[in-house]
Amino acid sequence: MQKSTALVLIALLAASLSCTPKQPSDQTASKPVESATPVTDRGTSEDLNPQLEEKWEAFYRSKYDTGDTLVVGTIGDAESLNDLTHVTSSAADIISLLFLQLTRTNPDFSHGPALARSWQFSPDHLELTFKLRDDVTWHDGVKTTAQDVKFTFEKQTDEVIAWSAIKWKENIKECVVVDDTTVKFIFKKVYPYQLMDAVVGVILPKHLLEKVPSAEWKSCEFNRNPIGNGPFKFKEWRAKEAIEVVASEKFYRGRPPLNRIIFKVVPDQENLVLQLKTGQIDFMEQVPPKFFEELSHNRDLVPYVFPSRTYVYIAWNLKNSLFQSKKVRQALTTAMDRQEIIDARLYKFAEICKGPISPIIWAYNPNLPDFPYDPEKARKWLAEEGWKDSDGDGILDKDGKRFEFTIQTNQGNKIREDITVIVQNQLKKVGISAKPLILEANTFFSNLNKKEFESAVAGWFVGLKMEMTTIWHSRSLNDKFNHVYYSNPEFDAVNDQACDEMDREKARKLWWRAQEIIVEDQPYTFLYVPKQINFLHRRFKNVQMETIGWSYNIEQWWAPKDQQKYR
Amino acid sequence: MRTFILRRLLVSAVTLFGLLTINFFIIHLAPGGPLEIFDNPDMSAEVRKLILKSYGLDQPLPIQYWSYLKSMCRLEFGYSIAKKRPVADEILDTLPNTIQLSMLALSLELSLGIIIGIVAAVRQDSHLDKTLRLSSLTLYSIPEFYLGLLFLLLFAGGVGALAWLPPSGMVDLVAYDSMGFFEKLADRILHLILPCMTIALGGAASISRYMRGQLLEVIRQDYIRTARAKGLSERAVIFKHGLRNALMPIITIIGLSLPVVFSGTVIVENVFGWPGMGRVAVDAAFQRDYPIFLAVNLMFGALVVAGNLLADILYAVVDPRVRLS
Repeated sequence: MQKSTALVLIALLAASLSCTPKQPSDQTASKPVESATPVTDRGTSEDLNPQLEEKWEAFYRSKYDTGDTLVVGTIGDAESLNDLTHVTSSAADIISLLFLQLTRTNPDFSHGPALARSWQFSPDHLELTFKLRDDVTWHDGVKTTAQDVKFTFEKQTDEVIAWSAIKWKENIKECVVVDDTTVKFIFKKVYPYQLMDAVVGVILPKHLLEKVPSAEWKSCEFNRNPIGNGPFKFKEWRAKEAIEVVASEKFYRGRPPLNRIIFKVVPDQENLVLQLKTGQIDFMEQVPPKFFEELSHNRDLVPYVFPSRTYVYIAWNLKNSLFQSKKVRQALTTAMDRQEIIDARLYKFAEICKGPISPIIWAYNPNLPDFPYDPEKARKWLAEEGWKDSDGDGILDKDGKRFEFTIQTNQGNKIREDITVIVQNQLKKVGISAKPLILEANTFFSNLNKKEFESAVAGWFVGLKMEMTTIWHSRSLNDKFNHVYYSNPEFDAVNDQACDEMDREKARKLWWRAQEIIVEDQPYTFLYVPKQINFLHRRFKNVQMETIGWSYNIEQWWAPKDQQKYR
Repeated sequence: MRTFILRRLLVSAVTLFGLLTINFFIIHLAPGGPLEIFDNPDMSAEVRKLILKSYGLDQPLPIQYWSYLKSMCRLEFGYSIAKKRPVADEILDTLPNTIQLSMLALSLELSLGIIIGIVAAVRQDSHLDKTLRLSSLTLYSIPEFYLGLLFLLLFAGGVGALAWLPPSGMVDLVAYDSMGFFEKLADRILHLILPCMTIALGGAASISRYMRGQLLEVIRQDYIRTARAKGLSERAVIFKHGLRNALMPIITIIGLSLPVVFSGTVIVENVFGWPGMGRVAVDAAFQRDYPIFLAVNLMFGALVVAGNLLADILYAVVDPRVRLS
């Protein structure tokens, strides 16, 4: 699941029509399944997690039925099923069924064997050697070998192909084939994320792609007609309508229980939810919270709720004279009742967010200082900074300048649109005038990247790697992702030290400190971490849905014979 | 007649060129770009530049425009940036679906509109007429996306357990492959009903009002009175003498309906998940996928121009006075 690694700005397009959910009264409502595995410290280690490996293996010793079709409803069609040219998570979800990675990333970020049976670092920790399985074949019958791994690495780092995760491989010097089932990655330096960097991305078939010139990858036949080596095999792509994959009989673990998985594209969210209710789709990811109550009364559906990997924030442009004082930014956060946003617009399906690191990452600091809602304190802090309502118009001013600004966000995401209005109201109470400015998504993201905004509501999809440089470091000041022009030498020093620290406990302390510095500075007002709500038909068994990805163990899902709905 | 057609063709060509130029500059001057939405920090600035270069987007706008014109002369549409495939492929996949939907919707719209118009005119000022006029005005005023949602709720399982009609797509994805020929046909028709009705009803409403007005005007003419005086049956008067003359202006309306029908497909394709070119157009506009946006809009433009051309020619065939002007 390649997208699971990247840090991406999100523009979740939520439905624009509202619908009031029923009052929670029905006692038969299903209880959500909370299945997120606690995070351990195995993210960068080469050791396996024995419990998770045992759980994975136990399935193959258990009794299960084969057959049935899973119909997944998605808003958007995929664009390419080639790992190196795809861009959306719709595509990433399907790619992860068709292709194998060297290792499987577990919910606790530990690595389990997949294409690689085992792996080992050299004593100087600069070489990582993978021992591959010899019984994996491509769906056209050709064997998967170390040559494919080397070929994939070369293409992943080919700038002309421009893989979106190309940066993950920047510290790898080369990939060397030792023999058909042994392959070695040689690194430029020793750092904590070597294993993760080496295994990111799926392995591609050399024999099918080596003749395609790099410049032609962006539109080659393989993008729409992929041949993989994973548990499922590509069958048909009906453009803008559906993608169908079927169980691969040749899969090295034996065929997966489900016969087929159909990804059905329904661009309209109301329609998608309707089809979930009527049973025309079996699964929907990221169901908007407003539908939860209604759907949880449906006896055929099981809700899966877990923390998502996104956080939503308000960015303060530090180049703007209004937001240059740390005290003022802290006052802005203190003036905001974030719980009101969560209760009113997310139906409580979110947690207040305190800092820039997702709680699912090992280095998350649970003891970060917070700025709880307190309009009195906010007013006091603003007054200390010289912001007073001297002309009696209800808006604070200082040296003749009124505390007035716009909050931008993207159209199509109803929750964010509403946040701008709620925040407008809340800030008005302390004498600040914030005007919502809803822009077409592409225009908004372009403004954000060009840093042409005063303040903005946006969200980050967080990667699995502990990484703060791109968004916060002074080095990134002129890059587009440091949207707010954040720069603090103390942070830079702690961050740089943490990046190279191999000792996990020492690194953790440094990362905790780095988060404290950011939170103290409040360049963002961190709003909340939404929960992800997924609904799945009840007949599917052995489902392990996780923050790391809903389809983590989809090759082990099965439906009992007497409950199967399709062939 | 030949000069008339030639002149019309020339005008069409100029129109298309204008359309192509305006489209080109509108989309390129719109804020944002093709990489904004998918951009992520793992992509380095150099890679970003290389991507833009590979699509020729690093050149100054006039040069891009010139190379665009050149590629249009060779009928090359280039490569989609967001869809990772040739633009022509994306259009070939979706254009037939849009034509299928819009042509069926147009025929439905015309037949419904004409029939309702005749009934309303013949029964002028009756309760039936008043009901038809009121309901057509109501239907005409409902936006298509709303009508679509209403249909979804009523006929596709939104209310209670009634799921009469499929809510999205062209076929039943799970079972289609194992169906026989007639089952397949029936399945396709079932999937067409909701999107077709959504597009057609509003248009039918407006055509029926046109039709009613035209027919009422014609019925008042002297030759109709003569026909009646001759003792022809009412049926013959209306259908043989009245309708034939009243239908003439409707031909113009067909030409004018085409853009409305196509813009209708853009919305309806999204509501009902119909895999057509309207959705390609919307996605391309949001993603600033320049090559595909330009090609799709040119296609829609060409279809509308062709429709108008056809209507003009048909009209000239029916009414020789037009050719003189």
